[in-house]
Amino acid sequence: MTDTQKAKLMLVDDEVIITNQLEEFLTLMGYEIVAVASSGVEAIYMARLNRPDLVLMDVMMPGRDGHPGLDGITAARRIREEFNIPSIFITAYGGDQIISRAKDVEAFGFIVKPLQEQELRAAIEFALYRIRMERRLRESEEKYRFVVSTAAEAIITIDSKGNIAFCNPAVEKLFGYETEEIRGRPFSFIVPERLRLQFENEINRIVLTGESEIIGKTVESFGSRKDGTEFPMEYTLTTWEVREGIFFTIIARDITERKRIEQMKSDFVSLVSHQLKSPIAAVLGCIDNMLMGLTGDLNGRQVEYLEAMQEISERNYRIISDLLNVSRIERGILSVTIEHVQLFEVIEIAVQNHTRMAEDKGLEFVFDYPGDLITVHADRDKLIEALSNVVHNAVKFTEKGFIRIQAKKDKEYGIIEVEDSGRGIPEEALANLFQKEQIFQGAPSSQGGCGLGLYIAKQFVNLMDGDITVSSKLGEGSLFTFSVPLERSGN
Amino acid sequence: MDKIYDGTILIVEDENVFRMIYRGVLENAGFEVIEAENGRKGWEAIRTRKPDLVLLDLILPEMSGYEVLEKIRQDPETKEIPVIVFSVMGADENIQKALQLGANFFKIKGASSPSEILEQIDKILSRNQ
Repeated sequence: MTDTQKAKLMLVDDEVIITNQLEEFLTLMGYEIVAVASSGVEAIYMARLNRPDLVLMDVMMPGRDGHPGLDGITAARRIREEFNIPSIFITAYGGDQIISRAKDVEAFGFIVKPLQEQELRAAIEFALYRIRMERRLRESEEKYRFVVSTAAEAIITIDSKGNIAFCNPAVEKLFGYETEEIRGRPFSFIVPERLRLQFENEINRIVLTGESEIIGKTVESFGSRKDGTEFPMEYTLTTWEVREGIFFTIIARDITERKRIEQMKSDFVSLVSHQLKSPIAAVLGCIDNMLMGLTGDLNGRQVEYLEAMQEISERNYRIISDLLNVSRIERGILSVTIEHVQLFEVIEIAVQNHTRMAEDKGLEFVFDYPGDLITVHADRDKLIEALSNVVHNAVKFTEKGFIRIQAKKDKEYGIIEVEDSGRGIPEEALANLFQKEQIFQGAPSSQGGCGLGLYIAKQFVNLMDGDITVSSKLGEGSLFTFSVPLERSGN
Repeated sequence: MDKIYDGTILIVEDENVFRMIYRGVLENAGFEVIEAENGRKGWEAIRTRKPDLVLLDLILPEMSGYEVLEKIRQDPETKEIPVIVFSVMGADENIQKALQLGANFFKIKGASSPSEILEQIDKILSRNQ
């Protein structure tokens, strides 16, 4: 029976007059009568054969040929149990005992004779409505159950006491427990002992305050198997509230393999970059010693050649460093050493490396410092590298004019501005300027580098609670602004 | 740098070319330079020659730079000898580990001119006097 099809009914009554009357009556009302039975036994047989949607069942039916037979309530129970077909009971008198027995069978309706058309129709329609709802619910529940039971992730529901209320079969694979085995036990059971208290506190905090940083986030942690072994696990915790209180759903997966690959990748990147950097560092060292005059006097052409070699090697060295930095940023293993840093000193070092390049292009470096020293809280080396990257770009993309570098204070921040009179940055590129992805959008640069400098600079400065912003006008130049927390008295 | 130094510096470094580069810089500044091409020989030279300063690479055959550093700091006879670690592995954790183990300075090879190391040596040696 779909919502539009005719509902199929079966009539059960030992009085033929009544069934005949009902059949005619109900057919007129638009129902399809698929079977008529006159005893409990026959009703079960006909239900099996014709599978009606609903049974109209007379409660009082005497046995035949002196046998007590099945009464309507017992027959209805069997039909409900075996074929999942519900019944509406029809009786001549609504005695208490009959009503309470009918309730046990979960009657879908109860009609007292003599039958009235309105009452009959209402009872049948209500029962059919309920059948449809139950069917829909069952279907959606089946779909849901299918999703949950076939999921590769362990899905665990926890009640507000921290006990496991439900878990799917994947739990067996992940943790080694049968689902029945851990239902009702505390969730902390499946995390290693050292993490249990922390986890229980977190759950309690959510129950009490409804707040937690981990809700909805994917968190890396560890799981504990039945045999006591540990494995790296990733989980997402969500909460939902019902009448009984807050419930939690945890979706967990084993990330052993991913962790292993990450480690391999990281070892590999570190090995390769070491192997690549080392020879370049050696070449740079040799060139440097020659330029320092340690190998004897050089003529002008020789110096020129060596400087060209130096520039190319430095560029290669920087590219490898950049790739290594990006890999570290992405693995989240970058740390900062915060100390008191003089902006003046940072600027001096960052600019030093670019003076020759600027001189070659005829660019002027303009400095603008206030009289007093500006001391910030920063990671000295990373701030130098970030500023150096920005200055490098400024020199690279400015053909004539100046690079102005200004240091000042603004509220709680030390500010460094790097302004150039270069070609400027198109508006559409500004939004993604500090993104790693921007390198795929711009035209390939003939001037070397892989375009990761600004991404790294911003990531570095963010790590020390600072920021870099940019404004630019095409054809007029760009302005990069660093802000880094000022040293505060007392820390 | 025009200043002329004296004193002995040990370079523990497996790559011949880096030994050559740093020997050049150090000898030019007036230092006597001794070399060791692996960690074990480096540690031997430190015990027997008691250099005024050690330039120590991290990745070395037979005994790593970290191990050599640990030994230097544990032995009462060598624990005061200044050590500058120099490596291409300039990651935060390498630097932190070396400094925790008692390195006086960490130089990242290739990131700046080798001759800049004289500035650090000058600082460290004048502090120790």
